[in-house]
Amino acid sequence: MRRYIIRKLLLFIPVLLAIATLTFFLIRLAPGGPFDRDKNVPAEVQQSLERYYHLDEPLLKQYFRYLYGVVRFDFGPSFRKPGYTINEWILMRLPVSIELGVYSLIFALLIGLICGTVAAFYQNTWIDTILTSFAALGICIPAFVLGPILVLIFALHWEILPVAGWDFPQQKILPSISLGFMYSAYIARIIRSSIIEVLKQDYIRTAVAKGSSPTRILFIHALKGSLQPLVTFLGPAIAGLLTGSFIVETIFQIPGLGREFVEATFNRDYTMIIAIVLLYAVLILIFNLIVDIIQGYLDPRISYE
Amino acid sequence: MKFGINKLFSLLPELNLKGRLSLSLLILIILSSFIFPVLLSTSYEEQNLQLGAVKPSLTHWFGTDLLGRDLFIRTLYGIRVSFWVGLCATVVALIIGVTYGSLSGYAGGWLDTWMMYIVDILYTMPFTMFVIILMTFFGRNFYLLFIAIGAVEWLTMARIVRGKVMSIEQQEYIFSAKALGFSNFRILFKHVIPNLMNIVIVYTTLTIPQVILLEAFLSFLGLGVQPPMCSLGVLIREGVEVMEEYPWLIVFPGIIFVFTLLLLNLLGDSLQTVSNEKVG
Repeated sequence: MRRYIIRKLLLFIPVLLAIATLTFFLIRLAPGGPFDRDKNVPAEVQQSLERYYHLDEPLLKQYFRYLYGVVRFDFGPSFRKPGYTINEWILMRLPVSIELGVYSLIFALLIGLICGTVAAFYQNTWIDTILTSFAALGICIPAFVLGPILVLIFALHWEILPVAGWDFPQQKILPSISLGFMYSAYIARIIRSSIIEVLKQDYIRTAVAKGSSPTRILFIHALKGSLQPLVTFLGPAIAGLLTGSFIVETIFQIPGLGREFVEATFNRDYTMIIAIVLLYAVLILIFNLIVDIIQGYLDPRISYE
Repeated sequence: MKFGINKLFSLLPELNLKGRLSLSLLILIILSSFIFPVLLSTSYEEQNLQLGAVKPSLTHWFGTDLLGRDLFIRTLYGIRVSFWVGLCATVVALIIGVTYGSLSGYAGGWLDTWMMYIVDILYTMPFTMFVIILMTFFGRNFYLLFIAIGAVEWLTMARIVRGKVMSIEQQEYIFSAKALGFSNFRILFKHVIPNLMNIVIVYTTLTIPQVILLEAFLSFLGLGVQPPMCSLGVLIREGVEVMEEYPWLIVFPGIIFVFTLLLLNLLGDSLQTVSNEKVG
C-alpha cells in the first residue's frame, strides 16, 4: 500500500512537468503579450517592464528560469496585478473556490444519495419513474442554464435571494445549487443502478431473512455495498466541480480562482495562467489517488500491485 | 464508413419507444431548423433596430432581441450550428479514438500497456483549461474549435474501442483469418473494425451531447462560435447579459438547449440498451 502511494506520487513529477512545459510553450508561442493592451507606453518603459519580467531573454532561458522557480514553489510576480506575487494572489482566491466546491458537493451528495436510494427502493413504481426522469433531465441542465434561471426566479422575480456576490450566507445558496445540480443527477443515477445490483446479492437476502427492517437493510447494508461506483465517479467529478466553477463564478461574480483563470487568459497574465493550471492538475491527481485508496478500503479484493 | 451506416439502420427498427420518440423529435427539430427560416423568409442576422426587443407574440414566437432580430429564427439557426459543431468534433474524436484504441488493443503487449498508460496520463490533465487557453491565444477559429474539442473527447472512445477489440480478438473467425495467413492490416480493417461499429455508434450518440455541452460552455465564456454566427451557447450568453429586462432571451434558448440535450441522451441510452441486448 505504502509502496503504491509512493510510486503514484513519484509519477506526479513527470506528469506535472509535462503540463508545465505544454502550458508554457502554448501560451508563449501565441501572438500577443501581456502589455499589448496598455496604450501609449513609451519605449523605455516597455523595455524596462520587459527586463523586469525577463521577457527580453531567450525563450528557453525563461523556461528554465521558470521551472527553477516552480520547483521552489515560487511562481513569480503577477504580470497584471502589480505588487502581488502569484502565491499571495492564489492564497487569497483559492479558499473561495474551495468553499463553493464543498457546498456544491454537499448539495450534490445529499440530493443524489437520497433520490438514488429512494428510487432503487421503490423500483418500477411511479416514485421511481418520477425520480429517474428528474435525474435524466438533470444531467442535461448545465450550470450556465440553471444559474441564470435560478437568478431570474429567486432573485429577480421573488426577490428572496441576492443576485450575486459572496459575502453573506444567502449569497452562497444559488451558486452552490447551480454548480451541484448536474452532479446530484449523476449521483442519483449511479446510486440507483448500483443499489439495485446490490439488492440482488445473497447477503441482502440473509439480512431480510433475519428480519432486519427495510430502512436498515437499505441504508446500512445496501448503501455501503453500492458506494464503490460512486467513489469512482467522485474523483473526476470533484475536479469537474473545481473547473465548473469558471462559469458559476463568472455568473455570480464570485472572487474565486475560476474567474481569475478566465481573466488571466484574456489578459495574458503568463505566470498566473501556468500557476492555476498546475494547481488544478495537482488537485486532480491528488483526488484520483484518494479515490484509488478509498476503493481499496471499500473492496479489499483490489490489489495495488 | 459504409459499415457504420448499415449497422445504424439495422439498429433503428429495434429501438424502444423512448428511443423512437426522441429520434423522431430530433429529426423534426433539425428539419424545422432548415424549413422555418425559408418559410418565414427571415434570416438570423436580419436586424430591425426600430422594433428593438419585444415580448413573444404571434409574429415573433420567441420575441426579438435588442437589435430586433427574431429569436425563434436565431434559436433554430443556433441549433443548426450546435449540431454541426457536435457532429464535426465527434467525427474528429471518433477517428482518433477508433484508430488509437483498435491499434492498442490489437497490438497488445508492451505497446498496448504504454498506449493505455498515455491515455491514463491524459485523463488527469485539466483539459478544459487547455481548450480555454487554446481558444483565447490562437484566435477563435471555427476549425480550431472542432479540433480542440475532438482532441479532448477521444480518450473515452479509445478506451472503449480497445476493450472491445481485445474481446473480438478472441473470436474464432479472427483465429481462422490468422490461420489463413491474412495480413494484420487486413484483419484489423476488414474483420475487427467493422464489428466494432455497434459500440462505436452508441458512444458516438453519447459523445455528441457532450460536445454540444462543451461548445456551449466555451461560447458562454465568449470563446466558442463568434457573432454574427450563433450557437445555442452564444444565445444563452447574450440572454444572460440582459435577462433582467428581457427574460425571454434567456428562457427560450435555455429550454431548447436542455431539451435537445435530453433527446440526444435518451436516444443514446436506448441505442445502448438495444446493442447490449443484441450482444447478450
